Amino acid sequence: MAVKSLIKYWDDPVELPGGGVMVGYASLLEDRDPEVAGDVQVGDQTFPHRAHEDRAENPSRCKQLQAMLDAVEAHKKEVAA
Amino acid sequence: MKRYLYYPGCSLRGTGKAYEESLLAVFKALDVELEELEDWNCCGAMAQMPIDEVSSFALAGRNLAIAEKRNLDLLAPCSACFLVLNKAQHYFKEDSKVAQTMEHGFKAAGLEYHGTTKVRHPLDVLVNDIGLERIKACLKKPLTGLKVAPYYGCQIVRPYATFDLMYYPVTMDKLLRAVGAEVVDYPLKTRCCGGSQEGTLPEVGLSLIHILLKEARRRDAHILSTICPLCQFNLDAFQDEASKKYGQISMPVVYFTQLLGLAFGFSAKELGLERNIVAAKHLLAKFAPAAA
Repeated sequence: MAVKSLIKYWDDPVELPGGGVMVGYASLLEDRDPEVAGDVQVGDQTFPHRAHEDRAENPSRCKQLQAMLDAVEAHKKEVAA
Repeated sequence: MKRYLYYPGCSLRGTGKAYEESLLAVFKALDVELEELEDWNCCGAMAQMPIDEVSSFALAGRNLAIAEKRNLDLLAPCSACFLVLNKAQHYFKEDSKVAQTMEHGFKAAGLEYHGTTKVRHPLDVLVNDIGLERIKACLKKPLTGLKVAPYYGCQIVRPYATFDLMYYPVTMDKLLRAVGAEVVDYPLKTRCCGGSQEGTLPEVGLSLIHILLKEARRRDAHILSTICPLCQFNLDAFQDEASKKYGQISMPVVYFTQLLGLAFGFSAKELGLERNIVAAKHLLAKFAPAAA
């Protein structure tokens, strides 16, 4: 086995550079065996969700997605009423 | 030259980076062009599905709508993405109420969708479009003697068995045999890997990991091959914990594209084999010298 204790799930919200927060992500905690180590390093986020990236790097896509979700929600309420 | 739209999804840019590296290498070797879907967004599987299913279909639908403009099949290697994109497509075509709600979403985004995008998995494309003969023609280092347990996971053929059998898929088996590996009979090939339980009921998740790997070992497999980045990560990263709780087990878990790539003569680094947590490259070096 290359590592002793690999994963830690973080419950504390982390503020993202472009706004918003990320919770429940996992980090690699310990170095790997140099024999098998790739370029994934200690502390790398392992779940860099596109949604989070959107807020920071692609605000126009983020706005479009939000508009879609708002429209879906509005239509659901309209149907329910 | 065959051409497909490529939808990486979040995993292939994160934990499943080795999947992307090996997939792109293999498709390039087969002279198949993958054009990344422009401005793709999260498929909605992980972040949105547990909150609201219909809005997750709208998120997936945005990708389908963008793909439809290009009029090419959409290749989705991640099992979760593949399932959600197919599910969104299915509901859009089969459930008029859901489709109407999705259309409100599309309109708000300035998009149109007519339901024609075809979502494909690399396994399907490799075997049914490219063909085993073409794959054999690219073979440089057959994986002779390597015994592989083929593990498909739960999402690829259920509930939509679009290209293989629902409970006993065989497409990966065919591919691995075509590159010289010995495929062991592995009845657990579509059982849950426990990934969904790791955050809530870890003892259940770890138990499932242990059962899958122990059975693969019992059937003399050297290695477990998978198609799902979520399964790969779960079975690889939590193997140590599963061993501590349920008994020692050690088995490398690799992507089928990494095995194909080795057989095509790519190096371990080119295929992301150095990213595996349970080391695979030393074992594979015995069967394919390129892995050294």
